[in-house]
Amino acid sequence: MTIKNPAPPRGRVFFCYKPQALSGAPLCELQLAAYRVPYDVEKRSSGKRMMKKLCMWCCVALLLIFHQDNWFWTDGTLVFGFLPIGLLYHAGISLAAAGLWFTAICVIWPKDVEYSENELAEGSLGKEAEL
Amino acid sequence: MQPAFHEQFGELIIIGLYLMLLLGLGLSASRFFKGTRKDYLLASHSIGPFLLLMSLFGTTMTAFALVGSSGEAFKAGIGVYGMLASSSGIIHSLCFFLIGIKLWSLGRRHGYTTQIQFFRDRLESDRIGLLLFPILVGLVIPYLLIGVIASGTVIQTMTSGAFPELFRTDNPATSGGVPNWLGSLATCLVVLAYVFFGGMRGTAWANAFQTIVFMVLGILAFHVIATRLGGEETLLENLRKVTAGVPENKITRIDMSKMKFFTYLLVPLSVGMFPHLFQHWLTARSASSFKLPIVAHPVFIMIVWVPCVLIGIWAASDLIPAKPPLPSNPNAILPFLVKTQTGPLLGGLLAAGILAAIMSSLDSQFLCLGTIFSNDIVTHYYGRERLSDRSQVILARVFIVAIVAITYLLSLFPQRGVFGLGVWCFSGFASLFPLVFASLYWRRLSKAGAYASILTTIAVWSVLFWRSDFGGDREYAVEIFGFETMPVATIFVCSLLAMILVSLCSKPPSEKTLGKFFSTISHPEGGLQMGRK
Repeated sequence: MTIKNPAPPRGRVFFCYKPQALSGAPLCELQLAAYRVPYDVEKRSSGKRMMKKLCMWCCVALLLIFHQDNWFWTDGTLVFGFLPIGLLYHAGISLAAAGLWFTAICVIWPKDVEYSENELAEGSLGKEAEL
Repeated sequence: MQPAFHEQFGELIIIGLYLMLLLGLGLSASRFFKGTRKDYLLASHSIGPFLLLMSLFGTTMTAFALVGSSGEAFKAGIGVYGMLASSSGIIHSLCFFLIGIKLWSLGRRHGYTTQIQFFRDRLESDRIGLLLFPILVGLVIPYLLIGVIASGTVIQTMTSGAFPELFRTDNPATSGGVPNWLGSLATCLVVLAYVFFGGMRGTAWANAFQTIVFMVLGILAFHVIATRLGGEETLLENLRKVTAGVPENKITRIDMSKMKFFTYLLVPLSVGMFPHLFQHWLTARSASSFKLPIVAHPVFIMIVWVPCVLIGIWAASDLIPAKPPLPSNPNAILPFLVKTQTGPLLGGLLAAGILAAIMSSLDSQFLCLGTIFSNDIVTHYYGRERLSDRSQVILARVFIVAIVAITYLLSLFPQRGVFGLGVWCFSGFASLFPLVFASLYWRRLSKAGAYASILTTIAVWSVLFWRSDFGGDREYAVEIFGFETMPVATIFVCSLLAMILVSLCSKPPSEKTLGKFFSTISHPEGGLQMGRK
């Protein structure tokens, strides 16, 4: 049995096995399944990525909140006898920032910014403004 | 009695050697110059992670990182670290991650060299370049002046006594030192030489070298000053002894406004709009080159700032000898301590370190302004096709020489308030941050919204600047609901609101532009766009 091509999902579709899917030609159920499954997989992985992004940006917001350390504002304790606790805390914030950004580049590094070796080697990039 | 030769000329010789070394490094970079505009202005996008880290860090850390940090800590205590350093550690890397990578990617794809090119294209407006041009140049020039003037002051202070007859002054701290105008001239000429011949590659190499120099010398100065002031056997004992004499208000933040501390968080956002950083970002070989700078930047800030802040609060301790008296200018605290507590060798080396911090920012700014003038004004209106690649390099060089000459001449006039302008320059750039962020992440940002944001920034900035006695009132704050806030907070919020409201009420950008800036560059599985026909 053949059915009419489904209405394209709103937004971006990442994957399609057959050029037929775009051509407007009818798809059989098997083809339709093959078309839908990877889309769902991609949708799920996109959802996961969104969650990761959300968590990362929450962590950044949290670090900015911790940066406002009202709790050590008037504390004159000298850690190891020479390091004011407020200074030590903020040095810790700097280290935490490095750790956080390390996690960010591991977890939510943008996928769509890098160019392939071929594109870079061909020198096709950046020609537009030079013309 | 005549002082020994090394005591009289030690600092001067080391500073001279350092400047020569830097000149040699910059000139050797010019041997790799390929003769093209892209190579001269962007080092042919060849800068890898390490050089990118060093050049970004060197550019963002001005003289203020060494001299200002200790001076401000002497004045306001350890709170300075949280206000200026740890906040920058978070926000600068945030800007590299959110703005830098994306701009690199778009710049690489569409061949941008300057910020103005990007905004003209994204906002579909040629005139936005004419509006942004004076703002960007106007905000960078005071920043340049601070560097040029500071270099002259550092050289004069550190070489004091070298020529007691020739350069006699009324102030014993500077008498006999190489005069300001000469020190600034020497610095300008060295920077000009390596930027002129080496272009962006020379700048990146020199920045990397200078960043290493000022980081190492900062730590060395910390160790030597602690040892001399403490006089004990181990470093830990010295540190304990020196810190024990520091007044309580310097090891806490009891004198600091919490709301000002909080709103200061907006100031480091200026990094997202610095035109010279935009140009540095574009030199990256790949997006992955950004990974190291993003992670290491906060750690590098910590390595430079913690020792300097500690030296600053030690200057307030009772262990500091009463004679000679501490300088009244807080920015002179570090050079003063180095001069009085160490020998000519370390004094000269530390002076070189301070100059390194100054010059590593000056070079990028000179190059950037020269690029903006030649690229966005002359070449843009005269016609790129009418100028050969070689002519464009020559044009950029001519403008760089002109910018250095103008800045130097301006620095010769009395500049009483120029140091107070620093935070205003940063506030101006930070208030334009919503514009660059929205242009990358908000499809609905329109040309009218961008104009509204820029004009609102100019208007609010000007009013607040006027109310602060043109930067003369260093403690100026805007009172909101009884809380003291930094002026940047007001300017930022007004600029943001104007941009959003006007964008929503005006015509959105064309589909063609949106496709150019918001379509994904490569889909994860090489997929197809089905959302629209």
